[in-house]
Amino acid sequence: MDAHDQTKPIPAYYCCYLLRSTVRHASLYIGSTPNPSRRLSQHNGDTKGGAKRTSRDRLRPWEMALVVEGFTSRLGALQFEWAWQHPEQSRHISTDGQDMKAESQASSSKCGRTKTRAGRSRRSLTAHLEDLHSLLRSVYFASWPLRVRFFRADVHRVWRIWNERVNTPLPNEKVLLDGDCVAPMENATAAGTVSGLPVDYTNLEGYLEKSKFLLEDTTDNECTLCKAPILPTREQIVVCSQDECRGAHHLLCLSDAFLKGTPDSDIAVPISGACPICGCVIQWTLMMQELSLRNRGENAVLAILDKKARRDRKARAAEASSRRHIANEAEVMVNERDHQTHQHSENASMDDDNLLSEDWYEGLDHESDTDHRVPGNGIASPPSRLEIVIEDSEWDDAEIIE
Amino acid sequence: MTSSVDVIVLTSSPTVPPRLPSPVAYETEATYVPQPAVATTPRVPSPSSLFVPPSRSRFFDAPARKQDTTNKKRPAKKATAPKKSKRAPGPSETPSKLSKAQGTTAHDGKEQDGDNGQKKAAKPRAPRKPRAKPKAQAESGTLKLSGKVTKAGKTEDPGLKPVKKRVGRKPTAVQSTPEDCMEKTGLPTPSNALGKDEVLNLDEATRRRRDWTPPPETMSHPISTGCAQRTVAEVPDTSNKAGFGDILTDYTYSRSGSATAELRATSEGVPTKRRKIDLLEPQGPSRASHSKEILDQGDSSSTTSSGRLSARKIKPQKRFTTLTARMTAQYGTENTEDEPGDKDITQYIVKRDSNRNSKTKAKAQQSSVVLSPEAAFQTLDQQDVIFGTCSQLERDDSPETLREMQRAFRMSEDLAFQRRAGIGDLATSEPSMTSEDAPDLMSRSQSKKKLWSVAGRDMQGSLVQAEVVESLDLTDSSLGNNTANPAQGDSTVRAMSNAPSDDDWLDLDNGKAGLSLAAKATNIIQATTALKSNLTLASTSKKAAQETQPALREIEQPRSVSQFAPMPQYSGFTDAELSKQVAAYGFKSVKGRKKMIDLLQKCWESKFGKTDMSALVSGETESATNSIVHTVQKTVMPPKTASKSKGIANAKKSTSTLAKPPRKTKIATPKKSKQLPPNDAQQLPTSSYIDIEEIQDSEDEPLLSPVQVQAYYTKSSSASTQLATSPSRNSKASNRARSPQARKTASSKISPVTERIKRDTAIGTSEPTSDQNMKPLLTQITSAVRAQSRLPQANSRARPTWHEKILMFDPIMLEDFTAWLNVEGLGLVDEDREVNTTLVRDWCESKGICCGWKKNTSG
Repeated sequence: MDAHDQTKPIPAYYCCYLLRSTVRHASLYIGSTPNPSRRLSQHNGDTKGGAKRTSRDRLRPWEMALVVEGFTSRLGALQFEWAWQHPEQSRHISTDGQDMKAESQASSSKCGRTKTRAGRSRRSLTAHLEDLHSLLRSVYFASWPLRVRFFRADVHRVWRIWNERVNTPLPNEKVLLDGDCVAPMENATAAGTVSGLPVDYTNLEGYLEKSKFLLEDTTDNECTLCKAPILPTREQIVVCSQDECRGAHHLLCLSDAFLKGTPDSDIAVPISGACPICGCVIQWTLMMQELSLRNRGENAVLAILDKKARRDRKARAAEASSRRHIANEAEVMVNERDHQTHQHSENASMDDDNLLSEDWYEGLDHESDTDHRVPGNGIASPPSRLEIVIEDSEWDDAEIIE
Repeated sequence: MTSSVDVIVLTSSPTVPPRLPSPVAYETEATYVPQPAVATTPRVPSPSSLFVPPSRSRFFDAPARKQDTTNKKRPAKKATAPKKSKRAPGPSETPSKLSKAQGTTAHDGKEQDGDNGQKKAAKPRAPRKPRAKPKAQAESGTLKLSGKVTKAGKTEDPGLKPVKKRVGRKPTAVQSTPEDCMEKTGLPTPSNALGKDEVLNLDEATRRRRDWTPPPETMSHPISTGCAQRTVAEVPDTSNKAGFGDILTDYTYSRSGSATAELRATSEGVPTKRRKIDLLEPQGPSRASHSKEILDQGDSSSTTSSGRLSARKIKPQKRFTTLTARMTAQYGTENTEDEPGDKDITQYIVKRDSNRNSKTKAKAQQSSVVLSPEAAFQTLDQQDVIFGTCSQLERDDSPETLREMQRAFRMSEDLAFQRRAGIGDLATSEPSMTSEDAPDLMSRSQSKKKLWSVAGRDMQGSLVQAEVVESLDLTDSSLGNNTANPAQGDSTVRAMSNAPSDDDWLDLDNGKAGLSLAAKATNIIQATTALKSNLTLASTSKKAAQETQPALREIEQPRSVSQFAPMPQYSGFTDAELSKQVAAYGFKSVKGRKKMIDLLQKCWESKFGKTDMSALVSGETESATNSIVHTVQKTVMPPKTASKSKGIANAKKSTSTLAKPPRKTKIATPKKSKQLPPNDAQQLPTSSYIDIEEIQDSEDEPLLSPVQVQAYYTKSSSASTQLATSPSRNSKASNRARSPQARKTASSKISPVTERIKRDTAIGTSEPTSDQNMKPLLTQITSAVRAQSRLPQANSRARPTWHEKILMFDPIMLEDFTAWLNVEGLGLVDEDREVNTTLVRDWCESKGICCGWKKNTSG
């Protein structure tokens, strides 16, 4: 597993979810998946592979009442899932379980729900939420960059009630409201529905592109923290997630810098920190995602970038379609070297191609500017480099890596 | 006659027909075109060719026969092919009757045909014979050069033997023995033999086929087999035995045939006659050999080995008539060297050939016997199994050398053991010599050794650790003796000082073993004294020991007084000498003259007892303590024994008289000198007295260099305990940083004496409690993780450090992480303790680091 994991980048998305039957709200199911919408369709029988417990037609359709997202590894998600499913056996809950029980009893005395909770079966929504709550507060999971995303307002209400009763409420940043919990567009992080969740690396495209360009293009970079040169091929280099920022640091340097700011020196992994260069607060998880993907998922990166490039091309093509042949674009889409070599032939053969390539550069720059807010001046040509001629590569490749 | 008739008709005809067709096929198939031509030719002239066969005898240089058949021969030669053709008809004529042996006999008959009109009288025979012969010739040509030889033999034979059929056999055997002739002549028995011979003939037939189809000779095996099968199928009527023999022979021939075939191929390009001649010559022998073989198989008893041998011998000479023949003969070993090849094959299959081989002659009488599985197993068991590398085995042709080497190894190994044991034995025996127990002692001592080696226990079941101590003593004693003083020279009890540790040790053992009390007592006393001296050093340094061992002291003190050998002035030694001395004591080279001197002094003291205990004690420097500790370590084992033996020793002391030692010394010295290694030998003569501590251990136990010892002591206060506790064997282990618990356990195991010492030395060392340790351990893990990332990383991207893994949210595999921590990580922060996965998990979870078990997680 270890070796296996080392070859795996941090998954783009992995979550534990609480599934609830829309027909019978008491029917709940806890699962984990890297792709909630796909999984939901499985549960609903739209596609194969649903859990047996969710196969009864009369309980269908199911809905995801909430998802706990932000797992940095499949293993972690599975651990969390298991702990959530087996609260009595989980070490992470057991310790907390004591005080939680006390709490629950205290609360139950008020609420009169004691029996359901005290009972052996903790299958109620409240019980699950309690467990979730305790898990998120447990020593082990507390420091994980997990967030709870509620899709159902009623569920969130129960949660909120519970959260208020508990002595140590969960920080708000751990809770995201989505679905019908919030008015659409009110919350920028809201995906609206399960299918809207960003389950792929799409949001990393610009980041990847930038970091790749940055690390490839400039060999004389140096870590601003340790003043030592950066060797992207041999060292773990973290690049600031901000598009404009050219900050690149050693992993350890940046983590130390981030951890310095945190009061608790015992924390091993920073949650977020201010980039030493641009000063923006950047999420550690995001950077690690990019780093791991860049270091370990090169194919995925290529696929992502290629996809992006194609998308960009399409956009550009749409803009300048009048002058170009789409077929030529494919040829143009070569990494720079190839492109240049091609250029000769193209120059010799077709003027259109030449024009195409030139335009393509411009268009790309423009796009990157508009779409990703990458400063166009310094990064004029990089995108072309990043692109590779894998016309057929689909997003599926990246998915596999998850 | 009858036999001849039978043979001829039956065998030749049946064999022939199948052969003929088959040969044709072969020819067609055969790569060699020339032979087909030959085959064609033979077809043409039939009758003449039949007669011709004798002519072949000419080829073979059979003078008489040739003369007889000269006229025929030449035509035959020319018409050899015709002969074959004739044969073909022959077989057709007498397909039912097949006997290869007959074919061979037929050859003989042919050869002799000229001689024996009677035999030929039956024309069928004659044609058959010629057929057989031509075949034989051809085959022999193809198959074996030896055929010629045999024919030569035949030629010789003819003179000897008119008998036709057997002549074939005889020819093989002929040369060698008239007996064969007799056998041949003795038709009735021969008939059977002939039947077998017929089988042989079949072989010849195969040869013939080959002749017919020279090219396929490479194919010879299949052919031969086919022939054999045919023959078998056909033959069974005539003789089953023969059939089986034929099969075997066929196989043999086939091989030979291949070689011959080559020869042929070369020769065949030339006109058939010459070729045939050439072929015949080589074939003759082969044929003879075949026939012989066949005979052997079938009639092994009847046929004489001598004849075969002679035939073979003769064969090679004739064979190599051409360069090609010679060259090919080398590769066609079977052909040229019929005997070995045949033997090999036959041997493996059947042991009939025993007759041939002088080796197997005894068994030979059981001519053809396939070993029963049991017998085979027996032989296998009897066979020496020699292990060695291929090169070794290959190099040493004779297993003897290997065996001797192994013996030597064993001896040397035994010597090594004996040396310990033996020394002890000698020593023990020596003292006991006077006493009656000598043999018992020996046996006991040996048994002790074994026990030791096995379980490290004495006869009485007590742990024996004395060896360790002794080793030191020996070295010391040797030094003492060499450097030492005149005072030692006396054969008084004081020998202790000189006392070779070996004897002492042995004595101790003996004492345990229950040797004669007197001897024991003396020995023990000495040993104890020696031990004491060691102990005393340690004890003096750590005075508690002395108290514990009053008896020892008592002994020691008087001895020490008596011994009072002046310590050599090490200060006066050159560095080289000093280093030598140090080495003699078994210590690694020590840097620093002063250290060496100190060390030597301490060693000296330990050996001879401190002349001035107080002085020594007072004078002890750290190095001294170190050395002492060192000795203590080594002696750790002994102390136990010493303590045990002490009681005995004391008792014995009382019983033992001082007078005894001298005897021992006298007796012992010679023995010692014999067995003891050179060092010891020197010591022994010089030291008059018996007790010698064994040096045995020096080999086994790595000695800690004083430096190491110092390091230990200086490093941690508990080190002394460690040293004391850890037996010399563990000294290596002690090098590794041990977890305190391990130390504890180790210490707990230590004998009370050593423990006492430990306490004394180690007093004040505080062993951290587990609680104390564990808490820091968590922080230590953290620091270790951080420390790793500070190390220069070759390629952290490909192999991220643990810290980086954690930062990158890599799930931490607890097993791997724990292993790393224990092996490397904690070492980075000078943490000797080890962590378990549970602790590591707690650490990870406390940090919120995703961790998991390797085993539980599925890829």
